[in-house]
Amino acid sequence: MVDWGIILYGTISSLFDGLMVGSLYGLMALGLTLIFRVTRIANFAYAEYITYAAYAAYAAAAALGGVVGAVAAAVTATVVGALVSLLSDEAAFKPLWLRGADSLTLLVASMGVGFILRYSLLGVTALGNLPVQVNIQSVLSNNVLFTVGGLASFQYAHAAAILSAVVVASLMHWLFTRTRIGKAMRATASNPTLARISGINVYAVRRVTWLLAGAIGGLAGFLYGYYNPVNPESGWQTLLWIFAAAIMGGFTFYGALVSGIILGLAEALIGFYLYQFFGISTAYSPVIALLALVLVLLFRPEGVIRLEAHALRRRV
Amino acid sequence: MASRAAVAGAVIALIVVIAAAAYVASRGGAPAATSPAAASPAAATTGGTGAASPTAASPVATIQATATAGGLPKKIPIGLAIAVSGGYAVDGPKRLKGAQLAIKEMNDLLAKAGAPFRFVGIHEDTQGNPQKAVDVVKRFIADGIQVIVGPLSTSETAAVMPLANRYHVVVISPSSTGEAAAKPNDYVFRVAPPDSKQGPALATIIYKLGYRKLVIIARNDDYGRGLATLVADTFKKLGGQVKTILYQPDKPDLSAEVTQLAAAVQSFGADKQTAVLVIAFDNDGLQILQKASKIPVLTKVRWFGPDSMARNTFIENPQVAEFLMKVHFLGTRPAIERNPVTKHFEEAYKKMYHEAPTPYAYYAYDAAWLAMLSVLVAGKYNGTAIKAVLPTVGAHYMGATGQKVFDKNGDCAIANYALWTVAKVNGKYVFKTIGMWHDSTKTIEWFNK
Repeated sequence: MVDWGIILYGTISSLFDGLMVGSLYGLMALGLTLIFRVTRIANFAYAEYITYAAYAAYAAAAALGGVVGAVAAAVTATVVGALVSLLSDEAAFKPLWLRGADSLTLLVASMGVGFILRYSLLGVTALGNLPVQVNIQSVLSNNVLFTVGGLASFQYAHAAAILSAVVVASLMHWLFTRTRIGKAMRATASNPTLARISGINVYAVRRVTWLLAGAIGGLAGFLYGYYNPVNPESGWQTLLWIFAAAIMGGFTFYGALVSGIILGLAEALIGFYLYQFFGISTAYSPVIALLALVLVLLFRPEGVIRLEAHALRRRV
Repeated sequence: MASRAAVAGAVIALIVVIAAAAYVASRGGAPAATSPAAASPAAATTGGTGAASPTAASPVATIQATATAGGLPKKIPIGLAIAVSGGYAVDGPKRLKGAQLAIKEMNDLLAKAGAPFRFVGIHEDTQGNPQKAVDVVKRFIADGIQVIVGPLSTSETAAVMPLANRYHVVVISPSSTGEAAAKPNDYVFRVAPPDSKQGPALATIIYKLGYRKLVIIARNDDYGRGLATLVADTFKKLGGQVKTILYQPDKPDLSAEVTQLAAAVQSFGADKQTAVLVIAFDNDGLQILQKASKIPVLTKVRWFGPDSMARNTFIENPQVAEFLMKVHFLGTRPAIERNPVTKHFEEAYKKMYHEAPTPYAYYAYDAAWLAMLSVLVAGKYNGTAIKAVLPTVGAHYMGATGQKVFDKNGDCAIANYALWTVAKVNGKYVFKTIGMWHDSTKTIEWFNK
């Protein structure tokens, strides 16, 4: 016996949450894709920028509170994400790259950088006797905007995440199509040697890429922290979904964002229907992301949604 | 030419110096490597101040248990396989401190008595991860450690159980309560009351309070799933209906699971006979409560929880604390039968660490005391001997958590549960004990009625 009212409102609730979480996955995957395309690094340390930014956002929100605190938290997270990102490149990846390190070396190095960042955070909390787990909602209220049928609720965090994804996507589109640096980034991404010969300052492009990717990750970190409690492993635990979205998007800029949203929606909706109609435990829901990843790698290793090609070709 | 000769000379001189140093070093190290018996007194005295600071981080190998014929070694290692990161990042360190306090107190006592030996706590972080716990215990066993306090979780405890049995090493878990580690005739002891008592108690309490339809949301691990099954079995036997939602605790976002919970509550009618039981830890628990507080249907029914829900994290967030009060959250936790030792422990803990202990820090303290007392009673540092005396030592022991009588599984046999709720006192949210579940009579005693 299926209660269609529950299915309807449950679907709406899953749509809200899927859109929200999907926007976060999309933003995170976008930053990862930026780094991968321009520098050829599958950056495992990327997840830690998100964590650092979330902690910074908490500190800012706790210090100021209210609307000012919310804005400050978003800005601080973006700046901290960008700085940690740039710093990790300048300290580890760039020196390796200049010595001619290949992709595998850089990948392993990124794991090392990730470990250093994660355990430094744990070390700092232990030394300073600071709380290990922070929760932005304890200092910044996340109110309900509206509810549907008693089951679905749309909160500030949902609005913030979805709005951010839209704004970031628009800004990126503007950057890639209307600005010199954006075009230089795309040129470097498609052929670094040619870009260099054409007179593009690949070092400047590299720096901007890391800053931008870190900033997007930082913003996503704030949004994640606004919705969920954060501990030093939060970013790391999200990494599977970030990579899944980036790979589904074929490591293309728009593809990553759209794939993230699709992944979030698929996980929420499929998980909900499997349980409601077939009684399959929700404990299996992480399998959806993994399955999507494996299927894409098996049948469409170039990615399912390669959006940039069509969207951009006309403007070049 | 002259400069080249000078460089060559310098290089040769350097090589000679290095060779000489290597020779001296190898001569110095050789006797220790070949005759461990001769090396042991030296090793025991090198860390002279070790007794004052119970946790020696690295020199595990230097305090190997090299028992002198029949007696106790001068330095008796107690392995502390306690997670201080992962899911235990918040509470783990507090439990570790409880065990370290016990070791310090025992050493002070031994010093007073002029005893020739001291206990040394050797801590390694198991990260709340069964595989890491196995690694840690393997290292402890390789270093000759015979008694271990920890691990904390049931998954970890169940994972190290085969090792403990094979190598005859006693493992005393301060906080594992799950079914997966309840096995008879093993080397694993657990000082907190097991879930085989808590599960049926929770189900009976919920049923007695008039609820007939129960939705359980639980961690999909040995502890969560085990307890959920125990509650569901008893609740169904009493005549109630149950739906269970399991979730992966390390999933970055649990919104989908909370939606499932809301749908299940709605399908039960969300009326006066419907209740929710949440079995979670820190991060996942906060996520679930935070999200649930935003969904109308979940604020209409009463919520219950086991011992794992009595966490400060939840009442530190005003929104979640308000939610817990709104849904009249009722939880169980092992009743710490207060006695003079309890009071002493609380004062000593506050004096030493400048913070109050959390419930399982009491059990960690008792686990460490039991481990050390059993070694002393056994009179030798040997796992088999320690195992043989431990149940009797426990029965005659009065600790911070009361008497430690063990059942056939080596689990704490006395299992009364305090019933707690969240209240606002002077503008601050606190856990308030409002009643007691007496396991022997299966009755609830309310304190203010």
